[in-house]
Amino acid sequence: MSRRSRKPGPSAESAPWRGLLRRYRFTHNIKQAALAADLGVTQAMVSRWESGVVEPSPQMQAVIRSLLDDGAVSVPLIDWRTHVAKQPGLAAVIDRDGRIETASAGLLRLLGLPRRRVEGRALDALFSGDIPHLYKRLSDAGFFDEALESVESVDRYCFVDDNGRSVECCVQGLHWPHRDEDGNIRWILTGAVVGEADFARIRRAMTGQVDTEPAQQS
Amino acid sequence: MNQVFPEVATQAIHWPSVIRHYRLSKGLKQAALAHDLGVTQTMVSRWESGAALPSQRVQESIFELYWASHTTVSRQLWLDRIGRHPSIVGVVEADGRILRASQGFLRVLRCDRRDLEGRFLFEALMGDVVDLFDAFVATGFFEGRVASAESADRIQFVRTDGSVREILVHGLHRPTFLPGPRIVWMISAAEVTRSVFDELRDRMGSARVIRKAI
Repeated sequence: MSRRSRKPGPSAESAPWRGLLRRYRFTHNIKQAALAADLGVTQAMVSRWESGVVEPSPQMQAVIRSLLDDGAVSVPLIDWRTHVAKQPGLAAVIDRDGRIETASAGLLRLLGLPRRRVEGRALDALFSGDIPHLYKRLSDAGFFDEALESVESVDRYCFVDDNGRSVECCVQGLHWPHRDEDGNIRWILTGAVVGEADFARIRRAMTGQVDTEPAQQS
Repeated sequence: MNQVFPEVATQAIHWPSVIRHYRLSKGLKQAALAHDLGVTQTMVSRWESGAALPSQRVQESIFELYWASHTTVSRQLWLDRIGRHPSIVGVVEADGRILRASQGFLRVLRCDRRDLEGRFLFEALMGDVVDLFDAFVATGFFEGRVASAESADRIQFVRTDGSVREILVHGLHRPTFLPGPRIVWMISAAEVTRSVFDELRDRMGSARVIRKAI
């Protein structure tokens, strides 16, 4: 099976920060030096973040986010990836290699883990059970080549939370491919926790874990 | 013919906000947007100052640009997906009518599709979510003056027998641009526990934070 390298490319990884910082400066009409002063770093540092050469440290990412999330300022259009990251429900953007690029607020809440411990990790490093299986099913069915319009599933999420406890819960899922500006297909995972009774009922109705809908031929 | 997007009375869109917001969100200069739309930079400047109203063609183009910045699927497919969504998702028109409700929404309220879709939000539901709609109307959400909003709401569904089903949710809201051209409210939410609900309200300092467009 051909798999691309798991190592994240530097540009793909730092691109969101580049965009965020530039947009923030542009929309607030402030110079790099002024932003650097707000964040307590040098102007050269801001310049390096914006050029994509380096990514802000996790601590600095938190400071930048809080600056950008300040409700007092008018904000730019919420782009699709930010929309996923802020979702109260379960949602994630997953790349072709099964790596979680973006996790929703709801998914982090369920996992009981901070963002930095989830984003950038492989699905099978976080989950056991149905989720790695679902990824394999999707890959094999050509999901990442847009062969499917959408996929419904009912999955048992099995993971270990921040306190080292094993957690299991039932989730009804809806998934679709998203073609990004870079031309690559990402998996948009969405879901909601359901009770055991609903879980069993949906599995019976779907006769299994997964129900796929092929893409329309155009 | 088109039953999914029924004709509605022309909605007042605040074009200066909508155009400026799109342009600044994408980090475009007036000249660049003018080039993309095939007009002069002076024209863009006049739209943004409110001195001129964009033509029908430009209005549609702007809405297409907003749409493309979020998804590559058709609006029809998008609306179909919302109906099948396992979590709480809904689309509400400027007049308060519920255009679409997800299966997850119906499940948590323990109601049927016809209990929500086609009805007015303030008729079908009670609680903070109705205040949220009023706040959106007051801030010009449906005119394009809001970028996004976050909330912690009580949503109550009153059954025909008078009994009430109440849920606590964490909500995320954004405007969506449909043909018309008109702006609708897309709500996505998840049920939360009382302690998470209280935490959210503490963090936000109120029931909701509405973030205005640039």
